[in-house]
Amino acid sequence: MTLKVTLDRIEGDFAVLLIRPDEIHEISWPSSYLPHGVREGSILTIHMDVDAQETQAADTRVRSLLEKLQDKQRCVEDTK
Amino acid sequence: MKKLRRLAWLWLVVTLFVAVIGCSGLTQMRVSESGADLLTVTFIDVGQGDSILIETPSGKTMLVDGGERGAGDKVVRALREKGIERVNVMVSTHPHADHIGGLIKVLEKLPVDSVYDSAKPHSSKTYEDYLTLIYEKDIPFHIARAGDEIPIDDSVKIMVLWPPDTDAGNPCHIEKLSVNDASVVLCVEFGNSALLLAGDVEAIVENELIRGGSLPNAQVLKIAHHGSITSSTDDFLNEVKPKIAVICVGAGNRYGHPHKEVIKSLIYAGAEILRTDIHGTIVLQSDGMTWTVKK
Repeated sequence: MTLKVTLDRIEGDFAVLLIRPDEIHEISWPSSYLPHGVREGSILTIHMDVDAQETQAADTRVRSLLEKLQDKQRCVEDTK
Repeated sequence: MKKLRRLAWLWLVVTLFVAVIGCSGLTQMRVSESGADLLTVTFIDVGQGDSILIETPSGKTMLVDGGERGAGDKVVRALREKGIERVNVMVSTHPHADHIGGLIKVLEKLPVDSVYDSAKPHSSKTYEDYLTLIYEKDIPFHIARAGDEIPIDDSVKIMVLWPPDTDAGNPCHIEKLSVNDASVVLCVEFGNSALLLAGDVEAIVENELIRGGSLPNAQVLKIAHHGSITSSTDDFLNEVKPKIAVICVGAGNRYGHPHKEVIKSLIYAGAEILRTDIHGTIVLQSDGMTWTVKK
């Protein structure tokens, strides 16, 4: 998915990005994560893809942690 | 025959009488909306953004900014609830979306006689849509520059204090100013009372305005840039000497508006602070001498 946004203004640490073409919805974006050379009024492109591999890896890590925590808790309870 | 002629005259006189009474009744109703011989200023609660309605003693209307695009319906509703079906003068202080977005709905729904704009180029679709509507509707479009007077009502003087009309090489030329600093700053005078609408200008412009010597003592100051730390310097407040400071700001906004240092400065300056995030829509009236907060 590709979004076109307008950098409408900078408010403190945030850039207000308006989603084109209707600009009804806005995104507050940390100013420190803006590309070099942008200014108020710049039109930017945001590309978004699902990273299936990264999602799967994170899911596996979390499930493993949940298992380990439950195992640990069971051990604690067994020793009581 | 004579009797018939007399009856016809009687009918004519009665019809004219009813028509005159009816019209004057309507006029009175519109004037009394704003209060006869009163200037009414309504700071419409549009969340994060500005929208200020001025109603003059003769019933003329001026809308300064319209909040974000999503606030447009609320602004139109606020105008209609006051019986306003026409905007005589629309001012957009600068093209940020939290100031001009809601003006699009107003332009779509109500006739607007004229528009005053900073003419600071900005490439948002919001600004483009707003300009397109003005163009398509053949609305007279004026670029507001310091020294211009906006004619609206003989008893109310509205002066543009900023931005200046300068050569392209001047650091204060519109192309060189930031979007906030390109804000149209207005002074509204009615009798001995004055209101200063500071748009979103920041300290650098506040200093320029002090240096230029055109700043009035204004009993009411619409605080610049939603109470951001970028604006409302002590020097500026000392110059304007506001008795009432109005902050147009959204409840729970993530930008930290208004800044606590600005609130401290206003308290130190002795100004009563009114905030749209706390008080909702704020209505002030002047009789030419004194400002009253309408409950």
